[in-house]
Amino acid sequence: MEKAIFISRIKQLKFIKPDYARIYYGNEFCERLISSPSLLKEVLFYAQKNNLNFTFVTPYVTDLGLKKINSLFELLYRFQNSCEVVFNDWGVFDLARSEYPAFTLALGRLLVKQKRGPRLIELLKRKIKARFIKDKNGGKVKQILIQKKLPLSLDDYYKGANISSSTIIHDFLISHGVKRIEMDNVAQGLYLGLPQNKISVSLYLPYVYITTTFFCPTAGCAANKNNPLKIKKCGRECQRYVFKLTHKSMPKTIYLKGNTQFYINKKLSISSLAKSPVNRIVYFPELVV
Amino acid sequence: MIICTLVLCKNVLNMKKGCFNILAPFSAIHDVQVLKDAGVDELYCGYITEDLKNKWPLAFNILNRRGEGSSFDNYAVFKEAISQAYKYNLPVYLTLNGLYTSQQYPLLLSLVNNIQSLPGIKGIIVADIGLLLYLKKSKFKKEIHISTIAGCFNSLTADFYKELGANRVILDRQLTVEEIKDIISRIKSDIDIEILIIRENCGGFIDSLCTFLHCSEQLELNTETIKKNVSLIKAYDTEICDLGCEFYFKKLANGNFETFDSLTELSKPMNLKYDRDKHHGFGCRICDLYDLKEYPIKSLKIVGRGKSSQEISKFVKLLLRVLNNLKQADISKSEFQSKCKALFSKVAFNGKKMCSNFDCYFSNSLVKNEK
Repeated sequence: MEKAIFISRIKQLKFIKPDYARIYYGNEFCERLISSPSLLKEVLFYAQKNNLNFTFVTPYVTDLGLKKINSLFELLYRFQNSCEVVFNDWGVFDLARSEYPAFTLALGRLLVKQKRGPRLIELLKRKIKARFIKDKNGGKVKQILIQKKLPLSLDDYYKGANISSSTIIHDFLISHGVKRIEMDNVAQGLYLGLPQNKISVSLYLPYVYITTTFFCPTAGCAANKNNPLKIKKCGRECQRYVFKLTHKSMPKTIYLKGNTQFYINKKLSISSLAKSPVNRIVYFPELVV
Repeated sequence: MIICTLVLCKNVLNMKKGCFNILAPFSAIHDVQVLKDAGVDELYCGYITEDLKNKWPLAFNILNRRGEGSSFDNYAVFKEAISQAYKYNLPVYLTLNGLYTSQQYPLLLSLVNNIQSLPGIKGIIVADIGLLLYLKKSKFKKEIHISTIAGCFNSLTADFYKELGANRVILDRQLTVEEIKDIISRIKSDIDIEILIIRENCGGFIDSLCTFLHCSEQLELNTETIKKNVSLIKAYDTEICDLGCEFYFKKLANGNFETFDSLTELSKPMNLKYDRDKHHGFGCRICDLYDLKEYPIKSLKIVGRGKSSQEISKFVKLLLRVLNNLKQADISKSEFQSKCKALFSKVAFNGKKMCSNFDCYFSNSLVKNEK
């Protein structure tokens, strides 16, 4: 089992321990945070010097982001043309396979359509729950809401994903040289239906991404303390703040970092790693965007 | 590099400019006549077979993103509605924009195979790459449109989907005008472009990348009284009213929060940029049409999951007036946009209030200097 660390900033290099064999560098969620060429070089040299494998991670992007990524790909290709690249956007995949064919491509977790809403954890336990709800007709009638049990057929759906279960997608990926997919360690359990020895899985721990947006809620949030909701331009506040959400119906605390929500799941969601296609664990030393 | 070229591609040059189709949803036979009379050019709908529905309840939006009560579930009724549309020369696109697992494909492909014989169905709207690959493999004869659930944010993604057999791509709701222009200008293939134009806005997240549980279940009310004044309601999710993405953030947690001296102020909706008082639950980008009028956008989609045709037709008529304003040779941008806002106010709010920037799918004013 290969152990990797995922970093998005140079100062996170301090988290690297001797048992890590690989560095993931980059980001998955924001094209504003795409690395500068100089920082990318710095991490590449660090990896080379410390005999660590290197994976470059790219986000979902507009055409502006594609342009930025393209210039980094040029640099990366000159440095190590077989470098592993994680793509989270089919446009980035298209760019890589056509212009940088020697890259080793891995399908990012944003394109693996896992279902990550934390309420699934409780729903899939299928425990009967009941509670009183407010009667909309003036309180004369008591209303009791009872939770129905989910059909068993939904297990495959909610614990699986299209890309991890569909043969036609596997064939497509393999035909384009994609032999690795990146997945979240979702807390409701994980079904993997991947062809043995043909596609490998990297499992991300402990932060499970839930949702993301171009419309960054955090950007500008610190600009005016008297009116934090006022629209402000991005000042990279995501690098300083984390917002935390707890709610009675959520079995997990939700964290908002920048433009993306996450929850934490430290417990492995598959019973036996040895018998699974998972051959790499990717650790996040802290919440990154 | 190809992506750096700024030359308008053949797609832009070859297509008819500023001539948008209006695409609207429907879910009943009588909707076809109402929407035809309102002036719609194209229609879309959902259809789910009994087999599919029994195995994967519609409540979870698994099979398509239309929810309960918004898709046809009786083949005879569905066929009659499609036949009506065909009679009126209104092409219909069938929504199959779920994200599927391998167990679901056989029944879905059977459905697709059955609807191929209906001349009124012009194509299907898909999001799942597996389904797309199956359609390509089976040489599907109708049009394939790529749903917003498939996430197209750039020109290379649009070209990628074209390569997989798509005829049209529906761009993400959150893209700005400039980003839409960029995509259209840089596309190398002849794939058609569609944008969402009005109604319904997500709480602030990207349709294709949001993995929250969305359960639009119709509550099952048991009217039998087990004892006086008590009624039972059954639902899959006992917290059904709370969508995860619309929760309120109650506190901050981080060692560096000194700059926020008032946590109360931050006990606001989680989308910190949203001012819920100004966000009226509608989504819209009609003002953007002024900047997009020269761009070859094939179709403008009215979003309207489960809405009545009477409600949808109000927005069809609104769009027709907006497009009519756009045809005026001497209309300025500010004049066009103020007319758009007045129309929106009239149709969406009965003239009682004006829209705000927070009603835009993604207002340029919100992203100024950000990208």
